[in-house]
Amino acid sequence: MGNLKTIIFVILALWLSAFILSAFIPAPGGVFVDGNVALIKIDGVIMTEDPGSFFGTKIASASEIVKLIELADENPSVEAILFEINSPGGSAVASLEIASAIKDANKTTVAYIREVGASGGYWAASATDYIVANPLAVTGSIGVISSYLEFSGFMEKYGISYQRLVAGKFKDIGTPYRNLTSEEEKILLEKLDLIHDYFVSAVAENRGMNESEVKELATGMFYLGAEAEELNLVDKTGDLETAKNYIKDKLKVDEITLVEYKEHSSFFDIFSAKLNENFFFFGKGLVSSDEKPLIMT
Amino acid sequence: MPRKKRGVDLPGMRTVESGAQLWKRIVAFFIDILVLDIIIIAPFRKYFSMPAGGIAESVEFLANNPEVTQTLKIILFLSTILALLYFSILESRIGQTLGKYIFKIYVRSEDKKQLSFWKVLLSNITLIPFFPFIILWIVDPIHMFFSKNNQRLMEKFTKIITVQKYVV
Repeated sequence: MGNLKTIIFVILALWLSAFILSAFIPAPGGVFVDGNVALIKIDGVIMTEDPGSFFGTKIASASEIVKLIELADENPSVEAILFEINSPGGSAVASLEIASAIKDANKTTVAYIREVGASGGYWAASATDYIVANPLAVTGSIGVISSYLEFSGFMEKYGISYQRLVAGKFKDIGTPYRNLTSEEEKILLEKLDLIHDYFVSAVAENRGMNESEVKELATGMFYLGAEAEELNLVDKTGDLETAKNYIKDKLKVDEITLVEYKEHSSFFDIFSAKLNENFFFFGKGLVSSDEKPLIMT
Repeated sequence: MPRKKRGVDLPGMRTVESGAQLWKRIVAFFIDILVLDIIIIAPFRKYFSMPAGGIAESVEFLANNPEVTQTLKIILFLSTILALLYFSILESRIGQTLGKYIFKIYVRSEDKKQLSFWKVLLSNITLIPFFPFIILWIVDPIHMFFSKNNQRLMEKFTKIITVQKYVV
């Protein structure tokens, strides 16, 4: 009986060691899969990178999603890629990166907008071959925003002044420490219009619509899934099963097996990301004040 | 020790040893591999599952994804260390792994001295899945079939023997 106790103890100790060690291994997403349809979730605000916070807003990192799309596309077992979208949009650059990666994929791509697929989230969805949206999902919202808080009044109240030292008169355009001049406001709006036009033409091209048709809808207004179907912004309203049925028809198979592609964050990743984030802001506070308003779709 | 039963002197029980039977050793080994699969490989399984395609597709996929290959190497390396610890700790301390415990077989040194951890570790280097140790994957177990006491090659080399006990 003594021997059995020792055996059980050693087995438990090794299992615990393996479990702890496995948490420290940075694993790439996907790796091998045993399904023929890759499921990639675009969940949260779309940004180029995930800052790796422990808490707070959910981030859909474009870098990670693009990597997962490439992995799924390279895997010969995967015949189609299904994107489950739950995103209100985010950075214009990040949304474009995801949309481009989707378009570059050589597999059948389908988007399922579950709850929200608006703005940048819709941009990504529009790049797929077929969009299914929940009839009550929020979608559309084709527009660009770059609002920010301006603190000059608050600073003035507390006797804090902004010492403006710039070489190049627009270097501090959009700084929250002073009011925008009318010229600066005009410039920023022009930039937003450019991005808006780019967004509109991308959606028009992706959806096979006229630019003027999309422009009419691109007021920033959101549409429910059922409305979006009538406006040709989505192909069909339904649920995940509807999206799966489309894939079955498209691949001419009776059964599909979904396998989720996702990035596995190890403890080490989270800790290092958190440290990097803190050091980044510490350094930024010391040497830089080159803030520009973030452009969000 | 002579034992007494109802006042009659009976001859003492004797324990004799012989090389463990081959089938017991093989089944015990597979039980240990199953245990290792559950306790060591399972925690790493969250990172990947087996490929649906053939070997050629897997090889191609790995060739195109060096970071995946790197991760698999790390997992393989850590699993090997833990597997070696499983055999070495248990066999050096109590002479048995779970598989051997079930079949009541033991390892001991040929000279019946206490087994050292390092000696047992050396006898199990066959488990290392890297060159040149993989050569032992074939040579080491084959030696059992031709050895008098069913010893593996590395057991012979380290003077370790796997035995089963009989009470007569």
